[in-house]
Amino acid sequence: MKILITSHGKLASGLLDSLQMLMNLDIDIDIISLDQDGIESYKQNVTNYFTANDSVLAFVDLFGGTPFNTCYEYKCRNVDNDIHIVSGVNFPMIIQAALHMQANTLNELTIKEIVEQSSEGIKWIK
Amino acid sequence: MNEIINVRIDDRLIHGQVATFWTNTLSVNRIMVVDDEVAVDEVTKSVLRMAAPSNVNTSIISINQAAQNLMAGKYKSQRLLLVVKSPITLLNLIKLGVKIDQICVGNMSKRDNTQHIEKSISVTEDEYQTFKELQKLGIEIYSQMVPSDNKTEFSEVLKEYRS
Repeated sequence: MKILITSHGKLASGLLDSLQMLMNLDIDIDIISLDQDGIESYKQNVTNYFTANDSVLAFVDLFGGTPFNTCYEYKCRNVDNDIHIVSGVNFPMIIQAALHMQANTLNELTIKEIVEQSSEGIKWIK
Repeated sequence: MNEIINVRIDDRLIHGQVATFWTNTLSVNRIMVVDDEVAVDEVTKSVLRMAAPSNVNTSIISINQAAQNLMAGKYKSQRLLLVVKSPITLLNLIKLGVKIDQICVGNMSKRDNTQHIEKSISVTEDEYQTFKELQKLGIEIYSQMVPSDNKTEFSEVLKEYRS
């Protein structure tokens, strides 16, 4: 299973940059960014990516935003592909996903864990 | 028909800007997408429904159905955000008797035979002429991408178009 991070602007590439600072990556994590005025080319890039990769864990920035909608539409139109979409991407999620991918343990069960654990790093200190 | 709080032209229909910013700022409780093609495309409809905030209802319907529902007062006491891809859809609604006072132009992407006239707005000749016609009907038209942007009077934007 491949990991894709896709976002409005540079959030996706920023997350990857931060990840590389934290760990020595020997896996590929793919990035697709939606740039200003580039909706059509963005949709094309996403479609090309999913066409080339049958099994993908796609992290998107915002539920209901264009990156989410584009991935979700592809998934609905290609129900035989193994596409998992996780919205509201954050850094802990990406770290966990990268670790699982490196250990070759990225699957439906571990995706569930990643999503469940992803809010544990959010603390309000008053 | 004062249940229509805002009319937006946005060819991405329901997406981040609409679902996150506009829905909150305008406190709408229903997003109505009017488009004859989308109304019969089950996959696109399910994507749009998914994209809408959970506390907001959606109607994704054809021009005729929308006009019929609005004229019958089906959404009385609701707060509607009407979203369409094109000014042509709005002109058709008006011809069917729907009252529209203001139009906010958000995103109209580059397509074949379009001219880029403003950040994130490109129009075809047909769309340009339709905007002109809507202006003649006395409708206030402005462009505004997100609520924190200033409104730009659309006649200024249309001046960029070269026939």
